[in-house]
Amino acid sequence: MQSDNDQLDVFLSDPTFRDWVRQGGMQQPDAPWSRWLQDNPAQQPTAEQARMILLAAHLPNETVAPEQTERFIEQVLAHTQGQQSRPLLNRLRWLTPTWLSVAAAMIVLTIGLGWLLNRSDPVRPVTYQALLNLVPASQETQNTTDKPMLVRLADGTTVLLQPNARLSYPPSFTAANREVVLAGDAFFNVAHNPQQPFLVLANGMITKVLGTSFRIRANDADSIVTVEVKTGRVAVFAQADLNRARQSSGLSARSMLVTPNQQVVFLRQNEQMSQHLVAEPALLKSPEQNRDFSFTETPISQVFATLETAYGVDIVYDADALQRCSLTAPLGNEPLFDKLTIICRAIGGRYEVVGAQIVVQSDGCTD
Amino acid sequence: MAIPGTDEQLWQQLRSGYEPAFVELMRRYHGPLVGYARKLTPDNALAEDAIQDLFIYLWTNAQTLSQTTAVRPYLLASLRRRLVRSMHRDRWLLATAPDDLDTTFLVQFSIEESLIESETQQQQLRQLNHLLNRLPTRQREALYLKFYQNLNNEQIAEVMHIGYQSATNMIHRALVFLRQHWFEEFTPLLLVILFLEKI
Repeated sequence: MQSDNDQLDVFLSDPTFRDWVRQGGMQQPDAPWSRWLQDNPAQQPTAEQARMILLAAHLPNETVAPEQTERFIEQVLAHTQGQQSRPLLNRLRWLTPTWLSVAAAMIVLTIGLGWLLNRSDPVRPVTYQALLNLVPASQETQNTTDKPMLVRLADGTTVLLQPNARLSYPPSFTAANREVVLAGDAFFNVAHNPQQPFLVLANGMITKVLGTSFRIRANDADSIVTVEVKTGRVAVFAQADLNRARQSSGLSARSMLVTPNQQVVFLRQNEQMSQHLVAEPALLKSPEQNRDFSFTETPISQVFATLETAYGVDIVYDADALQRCSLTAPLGNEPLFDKLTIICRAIGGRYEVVGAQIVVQSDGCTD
Repeated sequence: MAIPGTDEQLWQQLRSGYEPAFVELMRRYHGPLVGYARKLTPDNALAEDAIQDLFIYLWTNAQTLSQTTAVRPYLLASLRRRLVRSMHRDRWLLATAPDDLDTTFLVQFSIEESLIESETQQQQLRQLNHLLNRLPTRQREALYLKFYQNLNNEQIAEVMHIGYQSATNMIHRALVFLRQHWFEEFTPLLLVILFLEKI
């Protein structure tokens, strides 16, 4: 029985056998497989089983149209190549007399710039006023006092506006998403509602949540916008991806998920985002079975997993290299980075914070 | 326009920063990667983004790539990893999210009608097809990779990020299941079971 199963897999795993089946099997008397099976009749039953399985496991032919692939290639090259308008200018300069080429160069430059601006990366930072046109928001509250001011929205969300901050919002949230526009510094405590995501538009950055608390600093004078998460998670999008933020149920290539102990810095000029660990990550959740972070001959992978869950951080390390490392130490309530220092000393390694991740390097441990 | 050369040669050229090789690799693999991505997620935009990100990553990190023995499994494995990661991160945003990728392998096999040789065979194929579509999603994914991405068991293991032994065990379990439930004699009793199942 066992070897029949193996033989079945051998037939199914052979691309020439599969092709032979798809082209008609024994209906092709001269095909190598047809002849081989005639010479090896004992193999015919198993080969027939393999053939039947292939016929019953058919998938429609879904080739991608060549134009689609070409368009895909163009998009990738646009990302990897960057500026493309310069070579054209150079060629023009050599072909025509100087004054003509200067004029032509200027026309091409203007057209080129206009084309570039309309095409992809926005150059002008988005402002609060511009955003008001996008969002069905009709009420505006501005904090003209010198103390923080609490605003309560129709869904129960509260927003603590710092002095000079402005918030624009509808009297009730009837659309598919709850959308508000912010200028300035504010702390949000969003009422939980998975059916109606909450979007904050602030100077070109969009923050999307279901229900959680976070702080956004979107000052008009600043060149950046930042968001820091206190509880829960938020997703951050660029203004250019507003449609994606509104409709999709997930993240896009240019969006980021921000968790507690993380901060995202959004550059208004080119809508680039970067993610950073906060300076002192707080303990989010004590490990249920090990509140004191006390480890006894615990494999390092488990130690890291415990820390990841407790602090909501991402620890990157070579699992194979460290598979023989274990830890015996009471880490207690030391701050996260002190815990990591102790661990690294035990395994003869070191750690480094790279963006929002902690990367641990070590040559491994001997038995 | 297409440049000749094996995938391995193109890969070597890509590592040296030769752009036409990079373009040719995209031309050869965009289709197969889209095909696989569509089995893993219904979100076409997410799929397209993941494939784009993959190739952009390859080009910007060309120097650090190692010489691979086979390009296809490498690309498929990388794509799967990226999609699993995205979908895992997204699940908090979905009202009803699958708990893990395995429940979303979107393959439904059909029957190759043009090669059916008899009425009897058609009945048998229908039953076999029914069994195939009832296999656990991971087993279906392994069979898809074998039949439609032309991967051997070792490569399937690489793409699905499991051990070689797990991959072969998984495929063997699928084949044992099919043989046990179908390759017995096609008796009237089986006909009755078929009829009862359709109710």
